[in-house]
Amino acid sequence: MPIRHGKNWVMDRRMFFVAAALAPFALARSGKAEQLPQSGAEWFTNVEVKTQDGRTLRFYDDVMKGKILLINFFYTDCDAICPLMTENLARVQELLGHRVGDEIRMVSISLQPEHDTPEVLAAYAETYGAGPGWMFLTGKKDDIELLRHRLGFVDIDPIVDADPEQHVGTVRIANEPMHRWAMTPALLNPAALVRAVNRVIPRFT
Amino acid sequence: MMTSWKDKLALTAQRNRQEIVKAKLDRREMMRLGLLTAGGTLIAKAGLSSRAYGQAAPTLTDPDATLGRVPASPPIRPWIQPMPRLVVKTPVNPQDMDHGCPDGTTPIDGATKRIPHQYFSYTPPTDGGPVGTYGPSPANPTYNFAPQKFYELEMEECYIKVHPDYAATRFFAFDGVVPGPLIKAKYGEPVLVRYKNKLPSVKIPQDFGIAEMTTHLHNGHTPSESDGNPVNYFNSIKDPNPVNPFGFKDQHYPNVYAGFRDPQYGPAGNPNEALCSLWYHDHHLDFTAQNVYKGMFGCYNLFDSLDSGDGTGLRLPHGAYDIPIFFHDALFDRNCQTVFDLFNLDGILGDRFLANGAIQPYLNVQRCRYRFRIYAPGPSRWWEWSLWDGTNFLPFWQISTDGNLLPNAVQVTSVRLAVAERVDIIVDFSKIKANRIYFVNRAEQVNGRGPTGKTLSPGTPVLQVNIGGAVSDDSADPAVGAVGNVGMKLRDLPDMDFTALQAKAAKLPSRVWRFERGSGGWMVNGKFFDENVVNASIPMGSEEVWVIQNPGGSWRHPVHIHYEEHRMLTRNGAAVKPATQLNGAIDYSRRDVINLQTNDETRVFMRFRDMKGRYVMHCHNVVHEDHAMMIRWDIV
Repeated sequence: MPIRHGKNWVMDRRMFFVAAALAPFALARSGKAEQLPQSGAEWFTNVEVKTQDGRTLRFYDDVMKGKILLINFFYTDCDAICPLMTENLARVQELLGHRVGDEIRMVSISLQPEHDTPEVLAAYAETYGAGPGWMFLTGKKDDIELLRHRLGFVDIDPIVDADPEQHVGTVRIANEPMHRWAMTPALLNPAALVRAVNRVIPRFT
Repeated sequence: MMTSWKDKLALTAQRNRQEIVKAKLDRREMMRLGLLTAGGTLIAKAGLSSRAYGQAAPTLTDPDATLGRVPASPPIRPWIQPMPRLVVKTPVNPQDMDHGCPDGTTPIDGATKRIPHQYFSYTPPTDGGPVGTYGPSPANPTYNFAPQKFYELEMEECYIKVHPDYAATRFFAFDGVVPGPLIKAKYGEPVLVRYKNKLPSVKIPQDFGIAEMTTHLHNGHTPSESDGNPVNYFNSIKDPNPVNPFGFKDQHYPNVYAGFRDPQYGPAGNPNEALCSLWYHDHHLDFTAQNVYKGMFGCYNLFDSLDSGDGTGLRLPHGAYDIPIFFHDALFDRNCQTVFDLFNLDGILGDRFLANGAIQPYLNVQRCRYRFRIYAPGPSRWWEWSLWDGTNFLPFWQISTDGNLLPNAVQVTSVRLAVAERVDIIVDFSKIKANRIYFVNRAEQVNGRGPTGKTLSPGTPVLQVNIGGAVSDDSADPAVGAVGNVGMKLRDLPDMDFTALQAKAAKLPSRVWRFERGSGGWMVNGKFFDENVVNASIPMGSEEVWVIQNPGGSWRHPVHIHYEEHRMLTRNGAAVKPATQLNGAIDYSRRDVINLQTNDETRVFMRFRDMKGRYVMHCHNVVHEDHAMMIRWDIV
């Protein structure tokens, strides 16, 4: 299903919802097995994101699919926790060594995409010595908000939720093909964070 | 059969939710469309949002909740299946155990190494026979806790029908039953349980959960290597490794009262420290909520001469009249499979309520006294139980907190439980006129952070009880000799002189533990759990006061301390009072869970006795635990 944006998108959804409400028995007839999928492109979406080196990627297919992931949110203009966190993740990157890029991908998504252009992200990544397996992503504001919700960086209190600083303290650790998800604090000491990464990866013997 | 208009309405709501997921409608859009209130509640579509799990509360007039609101889980007909009784586990001979008799060692640290049990040893047979001998360990030769009863529990994938209207639901479970079997143990009779991990390989993707397990006997006085420490998870037999080729772990439960090193009590310990209603559950670091919700919990009861289980001692109802009930909640998808919201850090709620693994069952009883052991395995649901006859909330007797007998039975009309708490009650059906009553949950809870604090009337009926004919009853009547709401004497507390305990506590060293939200996760004292950081290193034999705080916000935390029971001294500055419920719970008792309300500060008296090793304290809203609200403390 193509993704559309702007006014038409909202209208489409509204019309869809009315239509769904008017057709209460459609599903019972279809008999189709449906689940609440928290996996794949359906959940994580293929919204377009841009990397610090200017490449345009589809989020699920090109960023997530088949990977061991560390995903966090940040923004370059955040001067409270973000610098500490990014520094901490840089140490995690060092500890993981060549595994970042080979089997593991680090993904940092900007909460202020309109400000954090690929150029800004490139400078930020360079500041923290981000290697090739560490993506800094930006995109359309609505798309990034959607990703934030899908990845569970949300607060049930809308006032708290509106504060970007509330969403920058944690790292999602995922084994995407295994559908295995954990979360650790971004400021956890780097060795413990690496152990958390290792726990989502089955040990082969 | 799904034919009624209510069923169709339910399916429509499910479809709507699916379509919204597909259409990638985000929260802001939903607010714009008027589907969400500012408070985040879904309007008239309770099934739509992962944040709204559990809002469709059944009522007595609408027991499957399809009238008032649309549930996310498929509809059911309540009260058409009996409540399952727990399977009672029978012991085996050690020589008959899979992969041989226990050799005195056990794997720890993710099954990367193997160490000897601290409190028993194994000597292989010299004559080539099948089994050697078990005795005291060289490290602790004074105490002979050599196992006398041996059990095997298999962790396996299984399919269980939680309701006749549902297709079978896939679980990970002990012995293929949810809840897992009941182990009936006795003080003075040490037990060894071999947990055999026969789950699918950890390399096989799962919707949620992880097939490595570490089982915690909550709240056993258990040696560290058998305590189910979060890092002591071990592999399935399908993922053999050199340390643990057959994928099992032997756990040793000495079944000894706390205080056994104190000369005042001798090697059997202090009988006033007896525990009775324990349970076991998975405790895997980062994955506890997922694994417990997937079915990894079961029951363990301990008996002694007072609480004998055979009609002697206190003569509490026993045998068929002693019924553990695990109440938990779950959300099911259209295929009747459990749904776990991996991206919800507040806590997971379900909209279907299960008693011993069956959705809204019935229980037939006789007109006599019963003991119910009420469990709350979570992951994030609080409960306030009352007995409702359609008109009134009926009185009953509370006899325990967290599975520890109270000094006296206390007559109440409701009991409130946070996740992991236990309450034992005695219900005297001979004094109830109605022929049918309900266990109703009256705690309102709209999200995983905790109950709103509002008590509903009558609340959600979860278990229907049909009362049959009178029978002779040899159990003691808690009402005999009652003064006011205080009934029969049960078990003394270890420190009966509360004034003296308070005076002693005032002079003890104290530690402050602040359970707070921060950096998008859940913290203790501003830090997240790191299994290699020892947050408190405590010399064996010490006594301390721990100050447990919840500095605010809209959440509550059931704080669980492993290994030792505690006594609450004060809650918010006021000394706790005997035989008195506060927030629906009795604080004047021995506890292993501190139910921290919003903005609470409690002071608890702790002893650290008997055994050395690593233990933890954590929030037992296990979603919070998995998001790092835990500390490690060691006895050294």
